[in-house]
Amino acid sequence: MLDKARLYAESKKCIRCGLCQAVCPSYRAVRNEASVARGRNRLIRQLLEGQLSMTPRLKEDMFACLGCQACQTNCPAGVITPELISALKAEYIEKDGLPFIQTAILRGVLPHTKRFAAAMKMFKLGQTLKIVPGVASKMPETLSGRLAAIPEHLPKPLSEELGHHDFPKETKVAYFLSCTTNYMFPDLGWDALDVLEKSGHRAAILTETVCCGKPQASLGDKETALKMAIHNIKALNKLQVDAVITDCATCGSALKEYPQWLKGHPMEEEAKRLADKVYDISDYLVKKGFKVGSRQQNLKVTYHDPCHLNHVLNVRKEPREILKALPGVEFVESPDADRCCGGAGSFCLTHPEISEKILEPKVSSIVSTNPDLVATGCPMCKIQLHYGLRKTDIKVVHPVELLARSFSEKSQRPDYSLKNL
Amino acid sequence: MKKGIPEQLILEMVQVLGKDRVKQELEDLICYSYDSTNLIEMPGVVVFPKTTEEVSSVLKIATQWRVPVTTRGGGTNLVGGTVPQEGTIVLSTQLFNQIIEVDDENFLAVVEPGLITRDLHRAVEAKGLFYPPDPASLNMSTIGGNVAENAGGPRGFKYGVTRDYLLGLTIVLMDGRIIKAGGRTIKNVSGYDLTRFFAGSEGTLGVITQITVRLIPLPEYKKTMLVLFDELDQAAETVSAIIRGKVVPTTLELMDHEIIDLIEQRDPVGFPRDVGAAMLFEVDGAEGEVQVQIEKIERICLSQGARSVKVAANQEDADNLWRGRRNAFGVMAQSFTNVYPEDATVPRNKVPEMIRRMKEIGKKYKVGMLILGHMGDGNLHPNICINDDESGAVERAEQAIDAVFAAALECGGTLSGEHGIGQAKKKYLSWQFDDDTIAVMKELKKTLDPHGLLNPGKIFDVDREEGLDDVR
Repeated sequence: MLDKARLYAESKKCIRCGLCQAVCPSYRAVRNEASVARGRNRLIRQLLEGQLSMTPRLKEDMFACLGCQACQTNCPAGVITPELISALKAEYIEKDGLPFIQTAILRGVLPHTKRFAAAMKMFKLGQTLKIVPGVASKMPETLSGRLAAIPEHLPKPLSEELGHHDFPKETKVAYFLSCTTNYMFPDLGWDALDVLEKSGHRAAILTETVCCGKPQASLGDKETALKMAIHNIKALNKLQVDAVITDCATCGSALKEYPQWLKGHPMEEEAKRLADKVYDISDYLVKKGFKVGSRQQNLKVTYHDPCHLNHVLNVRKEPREILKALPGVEFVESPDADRCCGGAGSFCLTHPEISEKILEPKVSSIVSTNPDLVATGCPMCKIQLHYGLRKTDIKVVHPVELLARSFSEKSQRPDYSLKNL
Repeated sequence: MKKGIPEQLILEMVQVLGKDRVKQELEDLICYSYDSTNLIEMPGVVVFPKTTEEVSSVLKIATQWRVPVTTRGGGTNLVGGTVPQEGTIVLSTQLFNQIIEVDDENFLAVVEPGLITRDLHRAVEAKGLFYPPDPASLNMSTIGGNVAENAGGPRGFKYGVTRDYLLGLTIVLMDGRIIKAGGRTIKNVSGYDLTRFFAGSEGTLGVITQITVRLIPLPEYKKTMLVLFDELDQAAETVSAIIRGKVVPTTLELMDHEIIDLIEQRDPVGFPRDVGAAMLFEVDGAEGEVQVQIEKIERICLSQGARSVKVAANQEDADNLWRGRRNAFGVMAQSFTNVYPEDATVPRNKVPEMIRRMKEIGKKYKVGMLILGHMGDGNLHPNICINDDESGAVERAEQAIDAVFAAALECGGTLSGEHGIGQAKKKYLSWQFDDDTIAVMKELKKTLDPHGLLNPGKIFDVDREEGLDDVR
């Protein structure tokens, strides 16, 4: 249910300065006041004042928000518009339900590790039998182009390859495994573990954690999101670690926001205890020190700021610092590096037109710096940029992958058996 | 049927623009009912033309049906200038936003009105050119809105305002006629200077559909310095001393003690909280010239009793200092329920007197009187801050605003340096101008817009010839 009094008080805080126009990706794409925080906020306020009803049109305006949270970071009055929008989305989902395919994925697959694994196995089987490329050729390019970002021969999920493992009690850091990393980019996960290890931070990995809950939360399915948050908090807080590290901007932002999601809930304190020690991997490596290999790469690299890393975790300098430290890497800043790529989880599939309009200038600004690679600290941005750059030779990587490449050409599997400690 | 919008008018608009660019759902009307003020009024339809010809057709239809039109860019107006009258037409320029050319041989750019000011800055700076006007809203406001409001900004002292960079305009009059003012040359004395006449006309005379702006070479070097004062008075006197010293910094921004204190409470940048005032200077030009000016400013400030002078060591340092200034409005917005940002402007040598008087007014009416200002051109920003749950606060704020304008005029100044008159300052216009002057303004308006349909209720009220019955 909507906490109407709180939402109303929040919506009234908007001073209508319009600063959100400068940072909102959907506004820049469509240039319409209903597609920016100030307008959406006003609509919510009129709704709560009873001057507007829960129309399908209002629903469209809410669901056309990418959830990048740039408006919140840049709001002089500190209005939490993204939360207002999520609350309203939740109300709509309660009223109308979600499309079957989304319900199936958000509620039926993502929260359940085994089902997720099974789904990815089917995908992998399809790849091996060459069904996926065949099916992909019949899909719209918006979907097939993004599937192409996933490695052609998908390695085993990291969680599976790792199997059951123990870690010594004195381990001080835990690695939170993002779904995208685990199932689509397991090598990224191995690289993350590898560079942590090489820098002297052996990480504990919990395979019992589930999806962070952000996809559900931003689509308004708060109930499922909370269940998953509570599951993860319980699992992670069992560990006596000082830091919980993730290589996914969105997972990191979710873990940081758990206390906000659980405001007033008995788990709120536990959520805070966890949130206080959540780090993005670049941030952690730069803060605690990292080692760089000696392998020369001879690459020109630029960087794209993932919204959730930029606006929720405040991580901007750190990934750049890592890239600049790599032997043979020439770092170039691209214009508007902090502008959204338009991916935003399933947004690029539900709103292909807006997504393309956001992606287009992003791609030109990357291309304008003429790089070999663009690095970005978010697996979802990776997929979107891979799709956007499909007609160029520019590859997309996570900064941590490039750091790992300074040690060796291929991903290494750090030995996780206890006897080697 | 929405009040004032005949169904036939909508059909005609759709014929010209297509369904997607004629919006009439309640959600659209709500979103185009406000600007950055507290004023709000629901339009009857919002239209999004993309060409001069489409604007012409829209205005012809509106004239035929005698329905008023309010042109709107980013909707960041601070005087209610883009708030429509109930049930009328909002003409949004948001989709009419292309850069037609940036000409680096003739130092000019030709653009459409819905272009965001920052995008113009970036496009010309990429070619080593410079469009100096920099209103605080430049990341959201449109160039068309800047022309209609004759927007200024911190750089106004050295570089002037929007009006000073206009070479030519294409304007559509209310009856649909398309006229061309000015041209592509700096020197141009053929006929009346209609270009400057339309600058600052607040959407009441025509719809500006193409703008040719003058550019200058981008200064190669700039430096920022922060000067702290124990007393606000000292800072004000220093401004006069700097100008007497014939130094022209690019910007000369003042922040008073209350604002610095709020910045440090809410989003600290490291200003000492006990200072009476801080001034931020930016100096640009050739490297040697900048160095000389910085030294000169430093000498003058210290001789006026400045507590400290700090030159930003690098860009990051400078950005941090400017972050404080940029956040000034935000920290006020977080601390008070209502902030009235005014822009009373006085001749520069009256700045110290005006500042003293504003502080007295704040005390007298028991309202927050937080002062920012582009000091070099006397463009002060007194921010009247209240919490409207306090009884009588709104009334006291209104009295304080009256008193501020009276003081500005007594100092030989003007009601508005850069925000415009709009609806919010209409009642003061007769304080500044005599009857004959206002009568001439109204006559000019009547010549161009005989039915009083363009942005009615802004600057002053004119009689509107309804005549609807004849048309229908």
